Amino acid sequence: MKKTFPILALLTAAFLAYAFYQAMFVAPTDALQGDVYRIIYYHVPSAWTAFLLFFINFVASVQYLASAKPSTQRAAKWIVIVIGVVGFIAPFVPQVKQQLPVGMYPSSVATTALIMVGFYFLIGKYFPGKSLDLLAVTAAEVGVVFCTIVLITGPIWARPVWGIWWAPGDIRLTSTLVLWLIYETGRCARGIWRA
Amino acid sequence: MKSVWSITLATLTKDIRLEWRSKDALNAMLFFSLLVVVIFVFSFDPLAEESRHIVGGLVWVAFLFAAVVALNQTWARELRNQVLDAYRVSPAPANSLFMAKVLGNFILVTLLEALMAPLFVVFYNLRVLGPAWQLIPVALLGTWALVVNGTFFAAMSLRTRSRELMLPLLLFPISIPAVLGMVAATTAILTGDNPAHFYIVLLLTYDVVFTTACIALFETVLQAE
Repeated sequence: MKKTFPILALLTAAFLAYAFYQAMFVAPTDALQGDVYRIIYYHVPSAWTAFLLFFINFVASVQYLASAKPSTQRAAKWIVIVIGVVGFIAPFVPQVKQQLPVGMYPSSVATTALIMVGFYFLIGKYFPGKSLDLLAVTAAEVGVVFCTIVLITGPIWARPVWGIWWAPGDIRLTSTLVLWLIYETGRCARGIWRA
Repeated sequence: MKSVWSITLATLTKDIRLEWRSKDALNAMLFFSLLVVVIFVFSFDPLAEESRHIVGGLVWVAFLFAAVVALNQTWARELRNQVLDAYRVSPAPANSLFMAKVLGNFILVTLLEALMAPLFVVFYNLRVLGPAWQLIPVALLGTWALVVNGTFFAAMSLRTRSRELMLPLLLFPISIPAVLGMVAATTAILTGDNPAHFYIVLLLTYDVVFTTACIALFETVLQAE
């Protein structure tokens, strides 16, 4: 990993530069919002990355806590399998299908359930024992960085478009802020835990 | 080997007896929340009509701060004379200790709320427009949410140097969904504008989830180095 680091860093820089060029010069200006909308090319991928990393943190943490005893490890494994099977079949049941929001297909929900279960077992396979905890901490740390970016760029976009920096009642904003606060707390707790 | 419940009961009675004799936490909490109420009265001087909209938030902020005062005291007593280490090596189940602490704090904070609620009514000239009996489940569920998490995080921040500072830092972010539910439910009941059922169910869900998580993880926290 140490040897590939310079190559990966260069590749990342090149891709980021290309993405920047595409976002700033190639993409046409939005008819309603003007150039401000270009921030979504930064804001939305950051949000995806943050949520993905927090999900990895969740899976790794659950697995780490469950691996304390063989019995809990087995129980967690079966619970995950049950979640996967139910999550795969349930979206196709007509009663559940009606509950799904418009534009969300049963097949996509089923695939998501499968990917989640796959994540669990892949992480368990490649990160045994103590390294699960390390993975969880690393994912949380990097996730907090991306979540911070989301929370900073969001208001910058909202001010010209909505006319306000922050919409206090908005569920998505509130939940992301609370998410960020909880992970920041977790970082604090980890810090003192080690000291 | 005694049952889990008898050990819980024994620890609870011991804590209540200690608290009854010293009244450390109760006095501090009562006076602290009295101060908060008085400061709020000076800061916001609204008409009865407006106060109905904001007092839900004020009440719970006062109780939240007062609860932290009590929660900080919970485990401090067990640190002296290595009582906690004795607990760790004893065959008593960790969760009975946890439940005893939670129940003790629950009784303490509920008592405080019962004493403080009339003060808010007097100072803000409150008259409940919605179904007033619903304030009781909201208060009980809200207190339980604060106390379960608070006791857990107090145990977690126990071995740190600045634990009195750490507890609110750990507790408040996790409690935000519960605080949101309590404040919204209280405001809904006081103003009578909309039913509070959704928020009561939210609080109940929060309580079930976090009680389960705390009970499942407390042993890990107690045994951690």
